[in-house]
Amino acid sequence: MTKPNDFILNSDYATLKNDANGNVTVTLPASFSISGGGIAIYRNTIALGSRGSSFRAYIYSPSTTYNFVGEYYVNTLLNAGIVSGSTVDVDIFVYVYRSSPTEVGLTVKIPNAYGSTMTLPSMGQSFTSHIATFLPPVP
Amino acid sequence: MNPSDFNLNSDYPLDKAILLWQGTFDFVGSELFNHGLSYIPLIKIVWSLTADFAQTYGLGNGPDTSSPFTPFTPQLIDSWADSTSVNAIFGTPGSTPLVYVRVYGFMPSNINNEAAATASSADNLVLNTDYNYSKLYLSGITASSSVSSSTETVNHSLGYIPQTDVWYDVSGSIHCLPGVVMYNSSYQSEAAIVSTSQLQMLRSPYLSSAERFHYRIYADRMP
Repeated sequence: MTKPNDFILNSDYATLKNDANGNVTVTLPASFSISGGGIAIYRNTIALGSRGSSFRAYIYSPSTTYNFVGEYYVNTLLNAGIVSGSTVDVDIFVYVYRSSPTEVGLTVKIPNAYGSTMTLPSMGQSFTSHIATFLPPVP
Repeated sequence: MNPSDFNLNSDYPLDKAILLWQGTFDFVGSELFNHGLSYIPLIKIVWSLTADFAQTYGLGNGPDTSSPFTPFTPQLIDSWADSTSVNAIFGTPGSTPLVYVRVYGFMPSNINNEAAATASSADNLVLNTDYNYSKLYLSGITASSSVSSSTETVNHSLGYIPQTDVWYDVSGSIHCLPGVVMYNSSYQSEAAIVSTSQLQMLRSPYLSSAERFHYRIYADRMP
């Protein structure tokens, strides 16, 4: 056996083949409503990579100006929703996943766990994921 | 010379996977497999509901549901390696009997051990100039601290946003970093932020023991 860290390249060890990279953005409407017990899902997909490929991803939002390393972003926005005339907190789930053998999707999901319609009057946010895909080293 | 202009560049090491595994998991316990290594590897995980991995998910997400109470079913909540095994915890499996999982792993930067070959059969090219290979620019392990919400900063000074992988190392386990959880834009979990000049790694606000980070910064740009 050899020590892989002694080598720049070594064909004894599987490596990651970067087969594609791209960006995908989801922009929420400025205002919208979610029925009681429902979920609002906003999703965009791009053709990127191949079946089973893993990826490195960042999630960026202009509201934070940060590129977060990872495939998953969750934030609770205080008093961003209105249910039956009262303000409520709103959970936002943002995540990256391979939606088909040839496409990667960025999804923004907002659940309404209340029994009545939730209105979100000021939600014109956008989220962008920067993604690099890799052929799986697992055969 | 800009290393990101090259598919391969002998100035920069390529990733070498010292651990490869593919199997199923039926949500019983948390152990996926015994890795048999004398050190804790840095793992990456991909999973699917189908054996052909047509749709795949990572950490923190899974198939959508129509319930506002359980946004994903199942959901991969955490994945980590310890001194003996590679593990995963899934939440809300629902009626799903099992999931298909692929794991690959790297040697931490402070380890330089011998490793068994992981390259597959001669029919599959390990190196192929049709593809770009991430060129490892900087890797390391941060200092360890038990100060909640403290930050470790690594200056890469590349002038662009590079590809990066980060793991957090706490209580004898090295965990994949899934992303970030926030409440009113206040951090509720570990996080890593990358810019054109730095990688910042934030410790959990709920630390109960010392935590450090493993990082791999590549010369390759993110789009």
